[in-house]
Amino acid sequence: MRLLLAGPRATIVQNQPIVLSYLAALLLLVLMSAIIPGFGLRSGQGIRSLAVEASIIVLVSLGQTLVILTGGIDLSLPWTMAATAIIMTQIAAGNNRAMLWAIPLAIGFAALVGFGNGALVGFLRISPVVATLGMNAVLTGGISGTIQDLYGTVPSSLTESIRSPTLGLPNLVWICLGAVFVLSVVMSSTSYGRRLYAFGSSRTVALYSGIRGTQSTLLIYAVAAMLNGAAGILVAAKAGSASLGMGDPYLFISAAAVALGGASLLGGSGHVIGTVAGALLLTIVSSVIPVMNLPGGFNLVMFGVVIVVAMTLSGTELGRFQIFRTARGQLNRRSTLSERRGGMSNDS
Amino acid sequence: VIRLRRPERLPTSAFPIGLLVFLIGLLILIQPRLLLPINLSAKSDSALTFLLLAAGETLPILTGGIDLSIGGVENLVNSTAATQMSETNWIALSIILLTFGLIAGAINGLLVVRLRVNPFVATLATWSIWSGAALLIAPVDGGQATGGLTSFMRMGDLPIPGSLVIALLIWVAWLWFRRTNAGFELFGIGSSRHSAELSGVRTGRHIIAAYAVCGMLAALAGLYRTVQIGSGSPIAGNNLILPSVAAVVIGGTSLAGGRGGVGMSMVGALILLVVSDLLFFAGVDPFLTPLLQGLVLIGAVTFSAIGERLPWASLGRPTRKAVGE
Repeated sequence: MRLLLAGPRATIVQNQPIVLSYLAALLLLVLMSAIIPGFGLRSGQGIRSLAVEASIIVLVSLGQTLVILTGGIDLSLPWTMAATAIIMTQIAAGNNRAMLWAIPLAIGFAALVGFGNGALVGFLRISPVVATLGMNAVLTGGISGTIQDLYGTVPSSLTESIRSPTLGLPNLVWICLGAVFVLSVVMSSTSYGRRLYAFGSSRTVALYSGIRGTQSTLLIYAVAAMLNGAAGILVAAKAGSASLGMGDPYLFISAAAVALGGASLLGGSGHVIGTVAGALLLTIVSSVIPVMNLPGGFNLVMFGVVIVVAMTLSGTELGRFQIFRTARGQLNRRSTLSERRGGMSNDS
Repeated sequence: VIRLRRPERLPTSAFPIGLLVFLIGLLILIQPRLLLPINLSAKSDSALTFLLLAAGETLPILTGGIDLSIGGVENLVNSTAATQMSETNWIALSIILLTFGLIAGAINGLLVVRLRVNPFVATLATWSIWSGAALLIAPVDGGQATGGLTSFMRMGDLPIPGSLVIALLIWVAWLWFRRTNAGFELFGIGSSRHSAELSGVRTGRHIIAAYAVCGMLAALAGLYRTVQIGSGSPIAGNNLILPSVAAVVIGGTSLAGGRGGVGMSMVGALILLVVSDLLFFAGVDPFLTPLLQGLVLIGAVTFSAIGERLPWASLGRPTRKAVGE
């Protein structure tokens, strides 16, 4: 089990996958900025647009990070996002004052969705893939079947406050950074965070250590769903309106960002800080394509190649840089390899 | 040779089959004209693409993995077949595309087995690559099916629809495979890869083969969709990935591996299709279809989760508790 920033003993070695992700993102950014005129570091506008794109990917991946840390996965993310944003726009109906209570209500709805996921996974021991997949279908049908107005306008004050810049960067980026900071403190130094890692490393050991299984699962999925819902509202606010299917592109991107950020999909290792690196990598790769005037399909191909290369490197000797091979590095490597032998996790 | 007892099927397969029979009965009550041969064959044709994907998806899931790339393979094969195929090259191109599916699946298997990438991430990445390639070949829906491939897939003169023949062939092939040594070993790997390895099973090869066959079935689904829809789409397969996982699960295959079967996944796929037909004929808003399908999925797994805890469920087969989970 590796904890990022977990007290004075945390080292570069312990957080090696995360460090590597940042190095890869930095390398790619510098390389691309050198090759392509006007891209990335070359101009303020380049940095700004990269930051906004990355912020969105980070925001939609926060909840996924928490769930993946416990060895689960949340496939209900797209429609949790869409449902929350649509409910918010429906209640607020473009009215700035109504927004003040529309947002808490919508987030409350997201929490209910999360409790639903948590109950299926925790009480009934249903595999997270199936439970959240079913929940996503239920939300898809429930929302698109009951809400007639397919596009909801986000109140103008929210859209404006998210787009307007502070210190040169749009507020969305600052909100994202704030969320990352709060969540990394929560993950590294609160009992909730410890519970996540304990649960993800070994459910059995966590149970014997006095962590209540069902209760924790409920809490984990509820918090994740609330984060996803909030991300949905922010994504809608950035676009100016909420729409059906607005979350669909983010399902796989969120899982990819978490995985690229060095988290094991079997649970127990990873961190929000890593997810940020994963999001940066994905953003840089996807921003290069339109700048170079390549057709849209290249985007997906590059995504896939980056994920394969990153996962392959981190799974082999080559990726475990020789300089990091201290005694503790050896220990970590052995534990990750034995984790990976287990195959697909089903949280039971 | 140790003769293994074949996996106990009745407790898990009874529920999906019963549900399917009940739903079909209901459907016929609402719309008796569906029993006309022409309607039956149209239903069978429109179901096959999804059935093939669900059938293929079963194999990686049986090994305890998952394959999200089937949608990408289907996209690429579908758009290539619709845009690049001619009356002269259809045989060669079909063989090439099926081989591509096999290789694409084998790549998934290699990533999972040799490079130890998590199956979810590995196949997510390959899905992305094949979908992107599909968009490069055909940026929008279009193209057409060639006459040669169409008459081959429809099996021209046969009195029953070609799609039914293909589905039955796959089912029979599964019934045979299940009883071979390799079949038992596949179930063994799913139950516990470590134990299977210690018992001398070459787990790596079996897992790679499972992904490869899954990829080939996805390619076949792509070819079939070309014939059935009469055009290609670089994105249509994406909407079938998670539903085929759902179909596998509704059919009683455990996502943890080691339990289930290809035939039952086809039953699961049929359940999902019949549910949407039922709602259509009952005049329910089509937007609500996913809601009901989701409830069927959650209901089916809940039923089996509760069923496993009933006292008589443990007769004759190891329970979760006995296995020590």
